[in-house]
Formats: sequence, structure tokens, C-alpha cells
Amino acid sequence: MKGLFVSVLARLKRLGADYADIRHERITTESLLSLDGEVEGFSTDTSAGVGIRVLYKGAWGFAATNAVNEALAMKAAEEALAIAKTFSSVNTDKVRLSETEPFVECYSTPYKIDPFNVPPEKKISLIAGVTGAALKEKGISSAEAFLEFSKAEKEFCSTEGAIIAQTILTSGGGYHVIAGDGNDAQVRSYPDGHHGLFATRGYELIDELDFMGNLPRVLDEARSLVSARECPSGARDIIIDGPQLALQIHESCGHPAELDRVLGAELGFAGGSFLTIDKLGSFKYGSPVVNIYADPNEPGGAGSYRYDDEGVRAQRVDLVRGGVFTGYLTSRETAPSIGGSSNGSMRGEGWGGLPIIRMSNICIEPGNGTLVDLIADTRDGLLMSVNRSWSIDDKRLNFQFGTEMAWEIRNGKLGQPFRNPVYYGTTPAFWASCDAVCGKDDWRIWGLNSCAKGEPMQVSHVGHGASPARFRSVQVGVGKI
Amino acid sequence: MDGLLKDRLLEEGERVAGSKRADTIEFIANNDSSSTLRFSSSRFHQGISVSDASFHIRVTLGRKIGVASTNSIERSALDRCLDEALSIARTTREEPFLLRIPGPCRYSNVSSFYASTARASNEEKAALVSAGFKEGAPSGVLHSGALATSVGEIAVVNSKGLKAYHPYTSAHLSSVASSGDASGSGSFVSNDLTMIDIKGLMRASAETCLKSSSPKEAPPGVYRVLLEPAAVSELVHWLSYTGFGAKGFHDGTSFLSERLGEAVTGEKVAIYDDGLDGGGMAVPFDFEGAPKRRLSLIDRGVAAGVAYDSLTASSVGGESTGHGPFPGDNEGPFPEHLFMEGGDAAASGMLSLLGEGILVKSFHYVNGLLNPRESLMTGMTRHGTFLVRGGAVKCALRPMRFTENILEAFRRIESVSRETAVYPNGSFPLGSVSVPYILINGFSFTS
Repeated sequence: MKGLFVSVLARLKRLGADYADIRHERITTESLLSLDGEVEGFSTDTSAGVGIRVLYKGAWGFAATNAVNEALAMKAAEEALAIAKTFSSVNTDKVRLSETEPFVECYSTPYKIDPFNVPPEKKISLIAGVTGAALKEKGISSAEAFLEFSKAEKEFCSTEGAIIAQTILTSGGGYHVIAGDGNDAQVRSYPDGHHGLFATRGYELIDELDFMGNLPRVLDEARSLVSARECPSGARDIIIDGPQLALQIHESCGHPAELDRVLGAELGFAGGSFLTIDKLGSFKYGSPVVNIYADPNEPGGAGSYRYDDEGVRAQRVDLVRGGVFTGYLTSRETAPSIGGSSNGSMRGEGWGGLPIIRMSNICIEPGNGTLVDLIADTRDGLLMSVNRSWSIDDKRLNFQFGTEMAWEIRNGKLGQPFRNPVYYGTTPAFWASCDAVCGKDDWRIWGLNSCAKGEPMQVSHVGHGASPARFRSVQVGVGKI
Repeated sequence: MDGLLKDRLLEEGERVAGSKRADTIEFIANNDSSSTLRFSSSRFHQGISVSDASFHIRVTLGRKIGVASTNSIERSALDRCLDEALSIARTTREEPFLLRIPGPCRYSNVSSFYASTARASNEEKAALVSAGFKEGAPSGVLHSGALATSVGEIAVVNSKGLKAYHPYTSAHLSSVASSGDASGSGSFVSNDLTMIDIKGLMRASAETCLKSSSPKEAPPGVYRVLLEPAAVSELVHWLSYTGFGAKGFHDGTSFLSERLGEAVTGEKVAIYDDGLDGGGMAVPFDFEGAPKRRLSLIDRGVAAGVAYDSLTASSVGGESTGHGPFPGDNEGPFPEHLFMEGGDAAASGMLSLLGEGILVKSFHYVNGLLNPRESLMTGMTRHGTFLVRGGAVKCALRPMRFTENILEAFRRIESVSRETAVYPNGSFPLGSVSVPYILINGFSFTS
């Protein structure tokens, strides 16, 4: 691919481009789905193409094509340049890029077992075994299990001399069971809700998750929900488990810390951010125990990489330190607006996605103690577990989350389960009410495969390190009006 | 934008599907070139042109099913794709049912392709949007949004002799006008770019923005509401996602599970799916080649049906309703050409009918997964929330969060407009949802 890259970039320079980069990706995906003991879906997908980004007189153009040959790549390059020229003639302000070193490197995310070399029979046996076993249990009406593996082979080259090859291997999976009595259907998931847990790891992740070993607990919890009481309303102390806290971080810290959102790039679609530039370095985002950082170097995170899609080296950045808002996710274009250089947060979905600022691994630092300690330290509260629904306003302030399950906490002990729990609040007040974050023993990287942003919509893998945390006097229970 | 590849797609489809290497072979091609001009604060910041394709091959060997896909039309890539699908089918387990795919079908004549949209250049489109920027400029209102167009084609060929082809274009403008904390929005989708009054939509969104300034707080509570079509479209989309698909219906999580034939809303509600209705983004067949036809979902308040593809229909011994997604889409079939029927009220008179209450222009980040069985949803108002007193807008309100059982709210619908508006529905350019204004006597705002 290097010869094609050199030809395209040389031509763009001759045609007057101030800057250009070209990215080829080949993404191979394998998906398996089991429903009620049967294999409902087993498919593979291969997608390859090239995306070219051009900066001309302070304006961007991007074009991508699935036909990877020199003639069509050159045509896409000229189209990207034409778009940039059109925008340049209309826009009055001009894009300025922060400096970056032109890195030359090959990198692959580490793994132990290549999932594409694991016999399909083993994968089928796992997911069909889980759902089949679940369905035999009394009170269980349906069970679904899924696995997904992807390998993205990326090559990047820029007119500044960067030449970077990366291979990102991702594994993920999970299952959920549905318990029903004809009048209600309650879902309980493992290890996380919706699309399961994803990580830049190999099949060892799936082995470690121990689907079967966790099934009895998941089944018991699902069945208990059918006869459980509705979660009561009111202001309560709540402990949020790791998977749910991961999504809370995602929605209320990760997205508002994207500097392109702050500067208005998503105003026409997803919205803006309450974390405006005047707040940087002084705004009280949360309590002093709240420390949140972004780090694409986090081992095994679903959002891990060595270089972003602008060729910038991945860096750790503190978003919240001691409760104070301290940093943004930035790009080469946006970083100068806060007087800095890019911290390497630009990614596109595959070859056809224009790189935009994306969360990598946004993590809350572990605190002290265990979940058992935290429950023991809570007199009257709720433990809320695994996301079921999520909604937040376009500034990322007013949120409401539903979880699959909650348990009452009385005098330091877990009590009866509740169904349909919901909590809500506003972001800074919520994080200000955080008085404890559990320690390393309960901390892990959770991973989502479905973070959506941009137009056309791009979907990205993101990681979130989290341990359970406690929040005081949170509004609970608007699920029933 | 690139030209269409009709002959080549059908030729490759016939070659693959006719290879006789499996009991059944389906070939589904979607070739698409899209252009998106994104603008923010009345300047263009992202121009994106993407040419891509997908080729799905689904095979059956007895009761075993294999699916593979690629985005390359090269013959060698398609052959590898077929090999992979066959390999999966040989490896996987037998289904408890035999997948029944459609044979040769007759299709209604649906026109979705407009050459002028396919040919529209980025310069022309940028000029149209730039003219819209001027609508807000005198009052300091800035515009953000996107003008997206696409030209594409779908071809479905299978080993039972089915052969289907359909070219399309689409155009969608979404525009948000903003000034400080005030905003207004506009959206229009059509197969034909020339049908979009870009300047008019941007002017209207700027006018809403100006009316939205200096918003007041309204306390949480139950209010009479007038929901404009943009807001209604979000609710109907989520009803579809959580209740109108066969998978949720049969696993018990849908609000329609075990309720077909029951009154689930008030009688003023009729929701159906019709891929052939040119009032939406029409298409003659689904991604299995099954013909589109009208499917009633809620008929005068009564639960009437859900959407099936061949896979879900075969698993329960039923018939596809023409809602096949791309093979390998594990979420299953959903209605993608939704219509909520208009009523007898004039939209212009509905503020008077509301009298006292809240006018909601649109919703943001609606989520229908709180309790799908009860159609419980939450979301924020956005881009225009107004307090109405004596049948007229009294003042703008800050965004409010609703949490509501939507089917129950639909029992309280007092009035439905004759006028309807169309919005995109899902990621495929030909999905749409067409809805009216509705007046609800009691809608819960919770924070």
C-alpha cells in the first residue's frame, strides 16, 4: 500500500494541498449469536477501503472509496481536494493544525489467543450451551448469547512523513436471560448489558469471563426480578456497580470532554457541552474523590491504540483531578483553541469514517476498599446494577439512567431486590455527591462497542475503567409515574 | 457521485446464486455513494464523500445457515465470500426449522431515483446551504447541521429465481439554528433534493430560535402537550424499535407480546408500515427480495401486527411481512417505513385546541428501554419548548425531561392533525417515519 500512498499524497501536494493524509483499513469481523439453545446467527464480514483527508487553504475535505486501486484512490483524493476548495471559498475562518512528530512505527494490540484461530465449534458450543442451559431453567422464557471478534489492520501515511501501521484486535461477548410470567419480562445480563463486554484482547477474554460459571447467579437474579417490588422513589444513597458507572462516565464525562463538541462541531446533531473552555482548570466537576482520565494506552481497553487516526501518539490526559475539571480530548485542529497540541483522540470508524474526536478509555481512578466494605458502610441505600436505559440532554447535564436491577441496603447489608430502578440528576451535582470509589480489587476495564457520534453516524469501541462508587442523596424511581 | 452498476450487480448475483453449491443461495447487494456537508456555526467544517458497497451471501445446507459479507465487488472477493458462507453453514448447528426464502416476485412500480439529486455537485449544495446561513445572520442566529445526499442501488438475487433491482437517491437536510441558549431546528428528507426548501427550513428554524430566547423554568408535572411531528417521530420510532419487531414480540419484551387484538391505545391512533407509500421513502422490496406491502401495527387503537422476515417467520411457522434486514443483522426485522395516520384537525388550529399546556417542537435522546413491556420512555425536549396560555405561546421554557408510558399517553390523545411530516428512520437512506401533530391531555415531565 505504501507505493499507492506515496503517489496519492505526492499528487495532492502538486495540486496545492497544504496537508493530506491517507488511511487504508481492512476490517475482518466474525459474529455469532445463539438464541434459546440454537445458533441463530453466524456470519463473517470483510470491509476494506481507503480514506483521504485533505486540508486546502484552511478547509477540510474527506473522500473514501471501497475500491482500492491507484486510479480510484486518486479519484477520491481529487474529490477530497475539491470539497476542501469549495469550503475554503465559503468559510472565512481557517483551520490551523497543532504540530505533531511524524512517527514511523508498526504496532499491534497484544493478545494471547487469536480468536479467529479458535475452532468455531468451541464458540458455538459456548453460546449454545449457555442459552440452552438457561432455557431449561424454570421461569426463564428466553436466553441470548453472542460473541464478536474483529481485526482492524490500519495503515496511515501523511504529507508530513508519518508512516504508521497498526493492528487492533478486539474480542467481545455476553449474554442475557429473560424471566417472564406472562405479565412482565425482566432481563438480566452478563457481564454487561446490551452488547456485552469488549476489549482489545484475544479469546482469553472470553475464557476469563466464564459465561457458564456465572449463569446460576444471573438466572437467580432474573427470576427474582419477576416477583420483586418496583424500586421505590425518593432521594436515596446509591452504590452504582462497575458496568453502570462505566456508562455514567461515558455519557456525563467522556462526551462533554470532547473538545469538538465544546467548539460546536456536533451542535447540529448530538449537541454541545456544559464543559465550556472557561471552565478548564477551575470548574468543580465533582467531589475530591473523583479522578477521571483518558488513556488509549490502558492495557486491553476497548478504546486502546498506539496512534490515533491523525498519526498522533496516544497519551494519557487527566479530565478530572481531585474533582476539578482539568482536560479535554483533543485533535490537531481543536487543540490550539486551548493553547495546546493534540492528545491523540481522533478516530474514524473504519476506512470510510472521517476521523473525529472519540473517547478512548475513559476511566475513574480506583479509590479504597471493596464493594463489600462499601455496602457495610451504607446504612440505608440501594445497590444498582447494569445499565438498561440511558438518556442525557444535549449539554450533558440532565441525565436519567435505568438499571436492570437494584437491591435494598439496610444497615450495611444487602436486602430485597427491586425491579425497574431508575435514577436521575444533573452531572456536577451528581458527581459532587460521590463520596467513595472502590479500590483496585473491584476495578476493571469495561468496554462498549456502540458509541455513536457524527454524521454520517460513526460507531466506535470505547473502554471505561470503573469500580463501584457511592453517591449520596440521589433521586431514584421516576420509572413509574 | 459514482454511477450505478445494475448489470454487474445482477450478473454477479446470478453467478453466485446459480452456482448450485448449496440448497439455497441468496445474494444481496447494496452499492451506495454518499455526500455529507456538515456545517457548524454557519461555516462548513466537514465534507465527507464515501463510496461503499455491501455484498451479503446467505446459504442454507438443509437446516444449516451460513452468512458472509464483503464490500468488494471483485469476483475473487465474492467467491471467497461464498466459500466463507458455505464453510459457516457446514460448521454450524442445524436450526429447528427450514429457512424458507421467497421465489420470483412481482413488484410495484416505485420511483425513488432522481437524476438531479444524483448529479448535484458539492458546490451546488454548499451554495444552497450558504444561502440558508443568511436567513439567521441579521439577527445573530448561527446554523449547524448537515445536508446529506446519496445515490445507490439494491439488488437481490436468489437460487429460487428471485431477481430484484432498485435504484434510489436520497437527500436530507437537518439544521439547528442557535443563539446563546436558544435554538430551533428543521429537518426534511426526500428522494429528490429539489423538494427540500433549504432556505425556508433554515429560516423557520431561525424564527423558532428567536422565540426560544429568555426561557423560563416550568416545574415537573403532568401537562397537556401539543407535540409537533419532529417530537412524535421520535416516539413512533422507539415504539417500532421496542415493540413492532418479531424478535421482541416472541421473546416477551415487546409491549405487544400476547396483546394482538387488544386495545392498546386510544382510537385516534393508527400506525402502519408501508414501503410502497410514496409519502415516505418508498422501496419495492426488502433485503430478502420480499415485496413490500402495508402492514397494520396499531389499527384504531388495537394491536394489529408485528414485522417478520424470512428467518423469524420460518422459526414460528409464519410468513414474512416484507421486513427482511441484511442477513446477519442480529436485531431482526423492524418496520422501517412507518406512518402514523393523520386526523381531522388543522395543524394551524391546534394551539387553540391545546389552550393551556406546553408546545414541544422536538425531543432529544429519547430512550425506550426503561421498560419496553410498558412502552415506558424518557427523553428531553429540545429546540423549542413553549408555555401555552389561552391558545397562544406565552413564553419559552427550558428543556424538560419526560418519562411516560407512551401507549397510555396515546390513549389520552385528543386531537391529531391532518398534516404530516416525514423524517429519516434508521441508518438506511430509504427508511422513514411519517407523523402528524398530536395533542395529548396529560404528559408527564419528571425533571
